[in-house]
Amino acid sequence: MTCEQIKENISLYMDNALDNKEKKELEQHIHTCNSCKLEFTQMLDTIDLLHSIPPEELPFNLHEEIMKKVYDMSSEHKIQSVSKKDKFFRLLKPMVAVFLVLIVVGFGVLGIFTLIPTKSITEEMEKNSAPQEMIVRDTANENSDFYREKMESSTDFAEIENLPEQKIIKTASLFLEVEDFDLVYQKIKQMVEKNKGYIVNAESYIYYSDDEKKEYLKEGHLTIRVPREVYGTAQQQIIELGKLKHQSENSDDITDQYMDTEGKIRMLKVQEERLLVIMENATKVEELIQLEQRLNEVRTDLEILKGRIQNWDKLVAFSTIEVKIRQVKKAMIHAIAPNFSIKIKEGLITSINRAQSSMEIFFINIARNFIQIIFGLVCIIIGIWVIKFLYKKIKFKFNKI
Amino acid sequence: MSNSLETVLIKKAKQGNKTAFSKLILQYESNVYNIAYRMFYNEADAKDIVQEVFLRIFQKLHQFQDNAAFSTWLYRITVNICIDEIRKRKGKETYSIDETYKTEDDEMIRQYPGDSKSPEEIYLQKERIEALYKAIQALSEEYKLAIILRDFQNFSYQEIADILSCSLGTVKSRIARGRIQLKNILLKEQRELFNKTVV
Repeated sequence: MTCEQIKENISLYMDNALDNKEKKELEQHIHTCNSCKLEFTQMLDTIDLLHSIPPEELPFNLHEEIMKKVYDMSSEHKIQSVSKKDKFFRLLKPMVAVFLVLIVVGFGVLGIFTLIPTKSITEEMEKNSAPQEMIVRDTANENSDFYREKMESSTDFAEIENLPEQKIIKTASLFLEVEDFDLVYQKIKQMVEKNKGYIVNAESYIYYSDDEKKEYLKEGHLTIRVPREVYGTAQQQIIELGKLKHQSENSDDITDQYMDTEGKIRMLKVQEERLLVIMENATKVEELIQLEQRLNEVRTDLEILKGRIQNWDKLVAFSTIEVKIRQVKKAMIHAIAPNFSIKIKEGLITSINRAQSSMEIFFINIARNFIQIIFGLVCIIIGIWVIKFLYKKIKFKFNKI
Repeated sequence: MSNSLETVLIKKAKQGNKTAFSKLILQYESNVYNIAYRMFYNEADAKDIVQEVFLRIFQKLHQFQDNAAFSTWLYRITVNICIDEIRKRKGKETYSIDETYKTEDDEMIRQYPGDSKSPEEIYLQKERIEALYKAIQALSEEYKLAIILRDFQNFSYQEIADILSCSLGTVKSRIARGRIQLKNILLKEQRELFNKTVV
């Protein structure tokens, strides 16, 4: 066997993948050949190095992300099998969004324009040497009127959104760390029953065990459905049971699809009635068979659509909350002083707020005294220019002397 | 997880039961993530790969035949998606750095003959991991895969042959050559790593 072959076999030797004959040959060769002996030790080091690397920890929430995509995908499949009209609605959504943005921008621009005339009025008034204070107050009033109007319009919006016809499917996911797993698990179940909700799915398992210390840590997933009226409070009640690590919410507005489907149902019902009338008057067997077939089709479509509406009603009436709870050792929860981070956060927020409000005041003052500031700046520039000019002249004179 | 439980879960998942699917994949996520992480040495890419793998598993589960091992099937999909991703990035060219290292290696051995000492004494864990990952990234993809499956994920030669759908002989030679290549890259790029070994 050549050195080249031996070198290839070294790695197999380490995995115990050589037959006895090859093994012996390799062992003998290494004792005699220095180059191969070196290769052997280096390979041993390399493999040691490879084996010394610990496995990477799974990123947080990866399982949930995967499952979310799986759920998304299967619901997409359903949508794909629906009609072309849904596609149209999917296109419609971004168009509506663009339209809304245009309106908002338009209002913004209009707002600026309404502000400009008041400014020019102030200038005119200044010319007429009217007391300045009053005018400023005037513009301020107008400003606040403008804002008030805006506020009112936005509350209108909110009211529209809360109208009962709106079909919104709400889902939330929570991830909690708790100390007493069983207690929390039980409490969530009780809470769900109390709120007249139900548990779609619950599973728990031991994710960490230390047989020596007799320590077992559990993890569990719960999918619960609660009436949408208690969606917020139910979430809050769950959050209070442990330490919240992750929270996300999602609402899916299906009003358009819902109305569309209702329309289709109405149309199909009309069609059904008309077919029944025609059937009564039909005399030929062929015609009857054809009509029967058509009626069947219409009825199947009707059933499918009705089922969809029912399903949607259920989804809208009950909001879904996915809860993941993980048990941790007591020390782990208290590792970080709970108030410390909150205090830092609060401190930061107040300092930012303060900075923001002082900046606002600063800019408002600039805006109020805009003309004066410009005038002052011009004066200062002229002043500097004059001083420079004079200084040069004096210097020049001194030089002459 | 016992095999019978797994078959039950697969059966349920095939019927579209997502809870069963969720339970089924839970134990494989770590391994799939680690294979992907080591192929790309990058958390974001590894996450994308893992998601793609399990989505594809979910889509193609009905194609899975019960007589084969589920794990092998799953890892084969993982490997294929990794390879696809690498090809997508590279365009279609594949190259081997086999020969250049062979010649340099010979020189180096003549230059630094000597005794051995474990690298642990020289390098801190983190730096070693970094160096090793870099060296692995320099390997050609088939060697890289073979080494990741063998030395990181601890699969047997037969399992690797099943996952990569190739013969046992091919696996043996890929692992042997891959390791030699890896060792040579480590020697070249990180002489300090083996400093004591090759004085």
